[in-house]
Amino acid sequence: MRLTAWLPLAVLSAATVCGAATRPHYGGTLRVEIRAAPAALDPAAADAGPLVSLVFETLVRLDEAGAAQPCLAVSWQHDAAAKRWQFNLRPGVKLQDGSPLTSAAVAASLQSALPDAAISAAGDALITIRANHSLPGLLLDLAHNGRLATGPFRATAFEPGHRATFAANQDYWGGRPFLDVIDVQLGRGLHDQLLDLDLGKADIVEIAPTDLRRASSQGHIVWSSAPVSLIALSFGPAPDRRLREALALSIDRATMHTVLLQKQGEATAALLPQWISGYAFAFPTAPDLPRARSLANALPAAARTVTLTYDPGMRAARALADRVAVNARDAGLNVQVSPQNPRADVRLVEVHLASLDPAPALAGLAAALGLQAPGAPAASTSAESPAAFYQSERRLLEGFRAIPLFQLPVLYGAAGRVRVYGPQPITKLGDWRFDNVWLSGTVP
Amino acid sequence: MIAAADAQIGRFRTKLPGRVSGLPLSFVYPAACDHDGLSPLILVLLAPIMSGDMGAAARDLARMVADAVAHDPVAVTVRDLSTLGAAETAEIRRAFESELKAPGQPAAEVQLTISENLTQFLLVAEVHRGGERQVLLESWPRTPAASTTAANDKPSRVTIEKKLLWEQDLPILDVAQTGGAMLVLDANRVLLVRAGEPQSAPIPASHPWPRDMRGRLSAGNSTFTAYLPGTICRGSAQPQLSLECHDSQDPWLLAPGAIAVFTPDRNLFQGHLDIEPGGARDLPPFYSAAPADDAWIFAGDDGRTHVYTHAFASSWESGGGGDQWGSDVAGVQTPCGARILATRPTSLTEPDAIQLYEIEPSGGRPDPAGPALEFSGPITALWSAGNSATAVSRDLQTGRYAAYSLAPTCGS
Repeated sequence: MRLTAWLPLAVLSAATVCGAATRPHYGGTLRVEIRAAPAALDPAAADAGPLVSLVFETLVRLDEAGAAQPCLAVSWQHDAAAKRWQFNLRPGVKLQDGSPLTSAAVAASLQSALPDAAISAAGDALITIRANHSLPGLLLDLAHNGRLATGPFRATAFEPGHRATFAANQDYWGGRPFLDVIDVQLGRGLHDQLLDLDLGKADIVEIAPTDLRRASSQGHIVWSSAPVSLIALSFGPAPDRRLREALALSIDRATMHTVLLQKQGEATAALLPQWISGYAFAFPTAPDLPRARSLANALPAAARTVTLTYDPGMRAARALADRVAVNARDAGLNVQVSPQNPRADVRLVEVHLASLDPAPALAGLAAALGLQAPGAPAASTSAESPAAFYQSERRLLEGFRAIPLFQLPVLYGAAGRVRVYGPQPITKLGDWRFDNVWLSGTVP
Repeated sequence: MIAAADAQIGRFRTKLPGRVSGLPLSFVYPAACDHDGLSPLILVLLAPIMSGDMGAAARDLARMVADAVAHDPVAVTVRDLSTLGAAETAEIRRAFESELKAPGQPAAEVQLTISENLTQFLLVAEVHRGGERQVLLESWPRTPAASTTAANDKPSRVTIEKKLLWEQDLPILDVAQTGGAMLVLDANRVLLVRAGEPQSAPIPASHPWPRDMRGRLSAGNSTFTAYLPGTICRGSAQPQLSLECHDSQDPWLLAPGAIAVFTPDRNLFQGHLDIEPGGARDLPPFYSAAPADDAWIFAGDDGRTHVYTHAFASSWESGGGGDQWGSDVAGVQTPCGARILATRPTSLTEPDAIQLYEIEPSGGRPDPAGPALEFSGPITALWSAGNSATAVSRDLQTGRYAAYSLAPTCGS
């Protein structure tokens, strides 16, 4: 070719909108805001989940279909009874302190996560897990337990309750993340988050179901997890069982789901979401006003009043609480809504699913709602059948100490400059996969 | 209210996938990290399920229902909340109803729901009789999704002849011809394909690769050079495949006589390049570049495509609107002059297409020549290869990568 002279183009027009290009850009700072305000970057802390997923990894991870995929383990096998499992570790992985990931370190991490199992390390890359009982749900367990600090980002600053900053892990086995820095503001209210997204002060924020349409109409990208947050009423010790049952039978979940939650997630009367249990639909959600009225009428007039409280920071809490009060009135009950009232009879709560394995997930929900554990469901019962879990849930709920209402997804809104190289960066359980996120153009 | 079926609990069971004695039940073979969002190769050897388990579960549940209604006749309705197909649903219904064939007026109603969770399929029978409701369940393990075969690319009335060169699970970075054989470059190895068994030479990785890995092959009659981010490998295809790699920031060969420095931690060319003749030039950072007669086309990291000419004031850059190009461009020499191939500005989760462009001698906006060549997935690599170009596409259904030779056929 002949190239005797070059005429570089003039300075690019700043007014021209850049098009989306196939190749992702490296660099930039992603600004994220969340409601949670964890005190530590602790994998065991319930509210640190998304932040933890930036730094820590597990042997396997779940794909969009919920199937286990290699992460720190590249392969695995088990015997016919699923009592003995072997995992082969990925070679060349480094912990964030620069030391190589060893089978001994993995075994130690797993032992605390699986106390009922015998875990041994052999050579550099082989982990064996043995149990006296079948472990068919082990891969689901391992997708969330036994975390190791090998992730795509490392924490560079943490101000408890206020701010967390993460930098790209240059030695990440999966390749350096596109982003240089992730700056997370903690403890931001949903309203403020959405405002910051609108104003270009944040790149990714949580959004409430009630703000979904607004976020979409503003041109923001919306990502959603699977339904992983249980919205429920949780009673204290005082109210009469008949009142609890009457309230449960008065609630019109379908209308709330359509109007207040814009059909996000699912209405439910079960603890575990349908996609985890497969049987949630077998717990009826339809109201039964005649029976609710009958139960309410059987109560002394003074016993037909309860106080309902909620945390104002919870998604759609006030609207849901007010609607519960309206439904209760139709049944002859008097529900007085009082936010942040520690002496209330019943609380509207949101409990995040802690595991994809039904046994620990159910145990976690029961504990959070103050329900008596059904025969101590734990990892040792993970071999139980759906029928057994169904019976456990039925026993947990038969006293109406908790009234499940909805299973909601975690929703995020993202600015237009946020791009993704690969699948959605929010997993089914709501964890972050921001190693695939990149930023186009300039900061707005 | 829910009537408990406690008496039945002892009969509930999950059929664990333990029917293959002595065989491990599942293997996941070592696979490339899924950091690019791709499913690794997974081969699961499960028992000769599922129709057996499925039918057995349906029959077992039907027997439990029959016991619950004292073997009276029942009316059955079925709904499907699962991902099972119509054939499986019909088989479940058949198996379930075959156990509930008591004659006479129905004494109970049974709603059978086919459902699923992450690990199992469920059959849930809700038995309604005399105002009472009883729930009975059976389950069996899920199988992995049946494998799908690669969808054929759509037939195209194109001016580009598209020929499949190679297909594999790992991302193909580039393909080149050498002395009657073919070299295939991926992040782990160089593969030499010729008559007989392919030979493979591993590429030692002294540092993690970028997640959208790129690589380039330059091959002569028997020797070749593989350019990788921060690494250069030199090898020979004769008499046996050999390869030596070392860390290097040396420039990559973009085209004969044109080299540019690749920045590994940004996965692009930094913009400094040497052209013979012409000398050193500093340009904005770019992802790819293509020569076309007297012009060069660069896909910049600003999302625009830049055309540079050697003698004319008129140049062109893509902007907003419908004239945007993707990040990969390649130049090809044809009997009717040089042409440019360019991807679309799509994401890596949607099918891409490659459009052929003609460059105006006076510079200016390149003209599309003929319809775009559609692919069944995103284009992950596009490199000039003289009279043709090499394109790599990832099939969105199978996740496999296929390398194609694209040779324009002018005038057709």
